[in-house]
Amino acid sequence: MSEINEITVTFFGKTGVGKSTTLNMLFNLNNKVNDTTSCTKKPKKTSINSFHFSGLNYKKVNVVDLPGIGESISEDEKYMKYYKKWIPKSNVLVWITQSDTRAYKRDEIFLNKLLHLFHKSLYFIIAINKIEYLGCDSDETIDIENKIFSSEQKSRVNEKINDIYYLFNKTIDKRIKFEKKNIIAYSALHNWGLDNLKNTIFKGDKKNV
Amino acid sequence: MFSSLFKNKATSSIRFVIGLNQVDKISPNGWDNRLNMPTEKGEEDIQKRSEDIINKLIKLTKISENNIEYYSALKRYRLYQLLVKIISNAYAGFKLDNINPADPFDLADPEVKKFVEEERKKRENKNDKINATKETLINGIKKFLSDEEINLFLDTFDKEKKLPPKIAILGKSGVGKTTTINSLFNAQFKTSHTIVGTTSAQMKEFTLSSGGVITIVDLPGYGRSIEEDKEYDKIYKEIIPKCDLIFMVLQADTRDIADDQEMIEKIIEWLKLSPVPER
Repeated sequence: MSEINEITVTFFGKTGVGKSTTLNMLFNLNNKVNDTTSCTKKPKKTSINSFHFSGLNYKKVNVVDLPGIGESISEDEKYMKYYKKWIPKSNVLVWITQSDTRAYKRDEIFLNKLLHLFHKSLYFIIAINKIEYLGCDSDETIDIENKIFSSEQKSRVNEKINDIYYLFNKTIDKRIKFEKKNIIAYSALHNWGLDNLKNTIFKGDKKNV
Repeated sequence: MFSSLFKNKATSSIRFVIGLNQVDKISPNGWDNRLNMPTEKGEEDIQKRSEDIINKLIKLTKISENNIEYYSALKRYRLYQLLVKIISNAYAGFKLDNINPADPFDLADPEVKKFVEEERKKRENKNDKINATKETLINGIKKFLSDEEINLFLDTFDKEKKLPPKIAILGKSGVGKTTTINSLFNAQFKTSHTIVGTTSAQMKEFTLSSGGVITIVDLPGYGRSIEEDKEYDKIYKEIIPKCDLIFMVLQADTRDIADDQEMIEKIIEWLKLSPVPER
């Protein structure tokens, strides 16, 4: 078993998509979360010493929770300095979005602004949270407890992934390696798909080698 | 009946209303399904959270609190308050004053519904309706205006009355635009799928339960991508100056409002350039 010295995993995304909730669930952290107001006004870095995940051993894993974009135009500007500081230091960047929206313009604007900070070996993941909402306006809802997706729901998840892939891929424009398998659907609230997300964070780029 | 017309002219208010929808989501345990209304604690949470967003919007943009209302289309909560804001801010808002929004008590428990109906009947019998006729109102106005002014006013009024009110509705996808139209105007449009939204402006004309016709222009949702927004801007710019009211729906429980902030500023600019609807 090889020991890896240090890895930095950074979480980014629009305000309210569930960044803090997600990393609390993934890493058993206790970062403050609130339904209505934004709690993450400054980057929150948590270092976990000797972290083990299915055969991988890390001396240290840094988890960085960045303040969310989209609160207002002026706040977006204010947070830019934090993004500039942390993104170049990251090994993995998890860009979180949510299933019940079609509005990705703010993501696109920021991807354009931040792309020059992405180093060639950055592993870029898009994580689609709140996947249970994809079943909301039809008669059948996704049976998240039993993890059963109907064929219609499966096709909706695929449709969503294709949609996001199209938009992000266009902007990334081959600057870094980005494939459809870098897009993970999950639900932090229902603890669904989090293992898959964790697996992609720690093993996704290893498979590529 | 005429007051809204005068008020509109006197204060040079803007024909723009922002509705904060889905306030029932703010306080997940604060909704009494039996009565179909919030609990006391729920109402407090809803009011507090809504005021926070309203203040944020006022701070970030040039909108005034007279142009913002919070409600829930799905639960039919505060539809009358919303309607008042719409009538008082719409150009020639008097054309909208006979709308009956969907009844919230239809969604309450049957015994609650029955009780409400009985109470309403009792009140109807008590209060004889005061129906001011057009003539008595005009006679009242004559005290303040010259004949020439009155004729001009009546002319404009009659011309305006013949045109169905045109309301443009917009917002990000998924905020409940269609549900809002249905609850507010007692109509039955179909809600759209999560992924396929309105991609171009759709004009829908329908007859109100109280008679009269209304035109709803369903504008494409903004904030999807830079490219699409550029295209949609052309549609907005073309349609918005022609409407009697621009109604923007926001989700009350959302924190991400940068796109909305930009849109509000653009709408205010466009409306300032056309203070009266272009016909």
